[in-house]
Amino acid sequence: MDFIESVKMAVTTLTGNKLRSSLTMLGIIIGNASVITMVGVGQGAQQYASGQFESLGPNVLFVLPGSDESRQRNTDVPRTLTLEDAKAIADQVPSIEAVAPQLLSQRLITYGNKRSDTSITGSTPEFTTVRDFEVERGRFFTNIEVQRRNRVVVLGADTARKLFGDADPIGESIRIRNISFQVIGVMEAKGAFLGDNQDDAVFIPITTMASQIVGRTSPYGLSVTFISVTAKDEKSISAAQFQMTNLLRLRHKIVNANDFTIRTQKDALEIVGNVTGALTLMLAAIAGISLFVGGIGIMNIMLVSVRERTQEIGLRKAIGATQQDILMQFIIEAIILSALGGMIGTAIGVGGISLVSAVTPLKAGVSTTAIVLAVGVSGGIGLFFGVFPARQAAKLDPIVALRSA
Amino acid sequence: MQTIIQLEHIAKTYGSGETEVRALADVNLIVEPGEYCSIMGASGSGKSTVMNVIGCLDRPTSGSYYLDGIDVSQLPDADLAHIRNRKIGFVFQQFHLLPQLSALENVMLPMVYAGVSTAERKERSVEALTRVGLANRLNNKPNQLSGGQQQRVAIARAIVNRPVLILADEPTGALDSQNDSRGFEYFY
Ligand SMILES: Nc1ncnc2c1ncn2[C@@H]1O[C@H](COP(=O)(O)OP(=O)(O)OP(=O)(O)O)[C@@H](O)[C@H]1O
Ligand SMILES: [Mg+2]
Repeated sequence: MDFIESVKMAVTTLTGNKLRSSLTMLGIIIGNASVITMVGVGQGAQQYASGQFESLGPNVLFVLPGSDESRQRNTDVPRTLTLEDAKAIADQVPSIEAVAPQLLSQRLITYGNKRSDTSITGSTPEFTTVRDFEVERGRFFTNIEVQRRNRVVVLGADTARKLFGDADPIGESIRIRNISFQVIGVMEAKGAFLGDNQDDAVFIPITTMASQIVGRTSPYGLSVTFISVTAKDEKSISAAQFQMTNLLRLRHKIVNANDFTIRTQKDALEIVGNVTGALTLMLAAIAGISLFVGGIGIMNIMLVSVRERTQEIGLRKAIGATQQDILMQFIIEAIILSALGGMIGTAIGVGGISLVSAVTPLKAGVSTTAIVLAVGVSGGIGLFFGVFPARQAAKLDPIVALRSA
Repeated sequence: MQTIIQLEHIAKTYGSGETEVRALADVNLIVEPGEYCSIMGASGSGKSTVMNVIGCLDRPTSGSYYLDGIDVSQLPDADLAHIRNRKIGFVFQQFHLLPQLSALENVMLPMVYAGVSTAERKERSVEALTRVGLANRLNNKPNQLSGGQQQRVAIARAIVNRPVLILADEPTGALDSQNDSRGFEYFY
C-alpha cells in the first residue's frame, strides 16, 4: 500500500470519528496555546522592563545617598549627597558628559480653582540632556535662573492639560505651596516609567526648590535626592563609576564603607532582568504543567482508542494489511492530529499574544523556541502513545486482535 | 492437480494446565480446487477454530498446513498478510465490518491493501455489491443495514479480490430462508 493511500485512509478514519479526533487535538491545542502565550507574555514583560530602563536616557548613571544596607534598613534617607557634590562631579570627572542633581517632592499645585497633587523635580538645565526629556513649547530654565533662584516652572504634558486644558499655559502663574511660579515651558509627553506617570510632573530650579519648597539642608550644604549623570559613551560608564566613587570618597573623607551608591543602567537592567526572568520561568512552568496535563489527555485518548481499535487492526490484518501498513496508518493519523492541533494551538497562542499586546503595555512576542518545544512535546506524546500500542496490536495474530474487546 | 488445502495432524490447544482447552486434535483434511466443502458439528466443537487456521488468521499449536502447495506454518507475518489478501476470502461469523466506513468502502478495503487503482477498486466493489443484491445500499454505514445485509457486505468483501479460496463461518446464519439458498450462489 502506498503513502497516498495511507494518508487517505488516515483522513477517512479521523473524519469518521470526529469526537475522538477533536478530543485528542484538544489536549495538544491547550498545551500549545498556553506555552506560546505564557512564554510570549513573560518575554514581553522582560522587554517592557528593559525598554523602560533604556528610556531613562542613554549611558545614564545614578548617584544615590546612603549605602545599599542603610536603604534596606528603611530608615530616613540620609542626606549625604549635596549640590556641591554634583558640581564637583561635573568639574572633575573626565569620563562624564553631563550632570543633573535632582531634588524631589510631592506637592499640591493650583491654578485658579484647578488643583493637582503633582511630583516636583528641582534640577538644573542639564536635566533634559541627562534624562532624555524634550521641551515641547516654551523653554527649560537656564543656569542664571538657577543661580538667582527664580520662581519659574516647566510643566509636564499631563499636568499642563490638567490645569490649563487646551489653553496656552506659557506666561501664566501657578501656585506651589501658595508661592507663585511663572510657567515658561511645557515638556513633551514621555510616557510612564514602570507604571509611574512621568508626565504628571513639574520642573523648577533646584535652588528654588531647596530654599522655598522643601528647605532641605545638611551640614555639608544643599542636599539632593539623587544625582543623574551621563557618561561620555557606553565604554566610559565603568570609568565614570570608578572616578565618581574616588571623588566622592575623597570629598566625604570616607575610610570604610561608602555613604553613597552608584547605580548604572546596566545594574538596573540586571536586577529587572533577574525579576522578569524569574517571572518568565514561572509562566513557563505553569505552561509546562498545562502541556503535561494536555499530554496526559492525549495519552489517555490514544491508549483508549488503540484499545478500542484492536478489532479494527485485527480485521485489517485479516484482509491483508501487513504490520507496516497498520503502523503507517497510525503514524500518519498521529502526525495529522499533532500537526493540526499544533497549528490551531499555535494560532490561538499567537492570538492570545496579540490580545495581551493590544490591551496591556507588554509587547508580548511570539517565541519560536516555545512553538518548537510545545509542538514537539505534544506531537511526541501523541505519536508515542498513538503508535506504540498500535504496534503491539499489529503484532498479534489477526484472530486474537479480532477477538479482543 | 494441486490440492488447495492440505491439513496434517493439526492440533490447537487454548490455555494451559487447569484451564487447558483442546479445541482441535489431529485434524486431517484435503480440499481440491473447485471443490465445495462444509464443516459441520455441534456448537463449540471447533468449526471456527479450524476455519481460522485454514484462513491463516490463527496458527495451529502443532501439525502442518499446505495452502496451494505452500507450507504456511513456516511463513513470516508479512507473507501471511499477502496470502490472506490474495488467496483467501473470509466471511466472519460476526461479519467484522468497520463501523465508520460505508458498505462500498468496506468492500474496497482488501483491494486497498492489494494496490488496485482507485477506479478499478470502485468498479469491482460496486459489481460485487450488486451481485449480493445491495446495489442500492452502497453508501450505508453498517449500523444502517440489517443483519442479513451486513453479512452480504461481508460476503462481497470476501469475493471482491478474486481469491482461490473462500471461507465462510456460518454464512447463512443471519440470512432469511429465501436468501439462505442464494447465499451459496454468491460464492460462484
Ligand atoms: N481463545 C480461546 N480460549 C480458550 N478457549 C477457546 C478460545 N477460542 C475458542 N475456545 C474454545 O474452543 C472450542 C472451539 O471453539 P469454536 O469457536 O471453534 O467452536 P465452533 O464449533 O465454531 O462453535 P459455534 O458453532 O458456536 O460457532 C470451544 O470449546 C471454545 O470454548
Ligand atoms: Mg463458530
